[in-house]
Amino acid sequence: MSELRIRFAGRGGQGVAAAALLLADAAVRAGRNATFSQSYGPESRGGASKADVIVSDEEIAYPIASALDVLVALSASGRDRYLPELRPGGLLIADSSGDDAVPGTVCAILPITATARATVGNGPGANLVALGAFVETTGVVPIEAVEAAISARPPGGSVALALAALHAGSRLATPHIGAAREAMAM
Amino acid sequence: MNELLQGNAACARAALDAGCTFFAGYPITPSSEIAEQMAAALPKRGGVFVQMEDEIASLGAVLGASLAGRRAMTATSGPGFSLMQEHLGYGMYAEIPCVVVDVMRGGPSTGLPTRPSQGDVMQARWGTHGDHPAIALAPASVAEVYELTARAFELSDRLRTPVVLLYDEVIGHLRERVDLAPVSPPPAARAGPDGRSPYAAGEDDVARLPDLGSGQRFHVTGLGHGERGYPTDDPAVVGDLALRLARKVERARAEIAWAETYRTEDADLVVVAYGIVARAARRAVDDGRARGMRLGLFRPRTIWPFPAEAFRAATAGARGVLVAEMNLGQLAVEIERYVPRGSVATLLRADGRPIAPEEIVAAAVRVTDGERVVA
Repeated sequence: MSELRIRFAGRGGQGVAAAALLLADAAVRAGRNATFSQSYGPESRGGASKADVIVSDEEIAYPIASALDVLVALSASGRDRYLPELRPGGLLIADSSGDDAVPGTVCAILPITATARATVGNGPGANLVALGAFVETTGVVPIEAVEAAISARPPGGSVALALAALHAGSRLATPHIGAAREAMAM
Repeated sequence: MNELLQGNAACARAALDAGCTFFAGYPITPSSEIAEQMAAALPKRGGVFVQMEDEIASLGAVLGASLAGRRAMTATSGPGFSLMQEHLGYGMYAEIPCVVVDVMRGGPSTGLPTRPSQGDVMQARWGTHGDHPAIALAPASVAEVYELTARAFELSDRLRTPVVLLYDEVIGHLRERVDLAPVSPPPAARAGPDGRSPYAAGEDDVARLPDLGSGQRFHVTGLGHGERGYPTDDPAVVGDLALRLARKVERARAEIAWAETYRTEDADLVVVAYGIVARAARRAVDDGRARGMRLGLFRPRTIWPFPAEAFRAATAGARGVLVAEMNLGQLAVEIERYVPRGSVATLLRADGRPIAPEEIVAAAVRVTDGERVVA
């Protein structure tokens, strides 16, 4: 497989970069090559935040993604901003609280925020639910590698809560596996 | 062992592996991770971390620690680098080794704290006043941040002058897979208390200062000085000093001035780029060639002194040069010294955003059609 280009987008404070970093770490743990780059504003909360992960089995020349294969959007503004960079037929994973399906893309519109709240209560967690959905639908890295990455550096400090959010996300996305894998194969 | 490592983390690790035992700094985005990691690591190893009141004091403390025999460094970004210029000149003039890391963000002034830039290229050369030698290294990957940080300590000790490590925010915050072979550059060869004049240079034009506290009393000053270190404005003495300082780096140019070339052998147009832009340019060279354009890449790993010989060799057969950088043409001015008038085109951005591979390909098309400034 050549490069797989993934962007996580949302508002500052949603854990967009944390989720992307776990994915890149997991990819390296699984023996793949990966880069992680991020772009954020000067605010510590709010503002636009994005993080790119490129997964490949070869040398990665340029670490900032374009012609995205997958866009994981944790906010409607993040979705709107980067949707034009999603390649035709690419996979959009977004939260059903604010999003409808987008023509021309393969969509997994899921109750990400609601599931996070139900699983881990208030506070961050939607990022890990989204990461779980990403891993389940794309199969880019084995879930065990993500679990290992979480165990090494649990976002929020609790491995158990982080894993619960991850697994809730993967269960949520199971019905979308078929369509997503077809999108990945394009 | 393969691991996912951040550029700034690689810098801190290289410093520790190179035997840096003193860090004084004032945290600033996008360099803060270096200070953070040095603060965590140094006390455990018997080293010293000091968070100073500002960047002027930071470099002052680093110079003092270095004189006292420590391998010492600081890290900052443009605003702090501006404040450090006075002490940078002091370090160059008094010949005190140290490593200064400048992770470049958008400027001038407070500018764009979280956005990348390459706007400090000329500041690294001429930021401090007066004629002085300058060495600045420009890594383009996490592995290279590690390699060049270690080299910076080595060069700084050997030539007894501050060395600047210059990279953009993208490289500083980039995480990528690395498999590092730990380096441990040999410790500085410092003179004992041999009674020689401290600023008497050998054939390599490098003075070998004794360490403070080693038994030999000597004087250190930012004033013009003679071989014994005492102030003078004797034109013969201070004129010789200015020439010797320039010569000691110039003599080492062949050894210091590293560059990488990629597909330049038959290139019509050679793209010159460094840092993250060089990564985009490498992709652009491949993409352009796939479209039938004969593109090549010249990537200086040393910005100062500029690797002129390697550049001449890489562009000997080319019809033109395209300089792509995240500023308004700071390295392009240097490049113009080495090529016929009118053969340098530029692709420049100073808006806090990196230059993408597609932009470089598009610029190359326009340059081939005769345009010169492609903004």
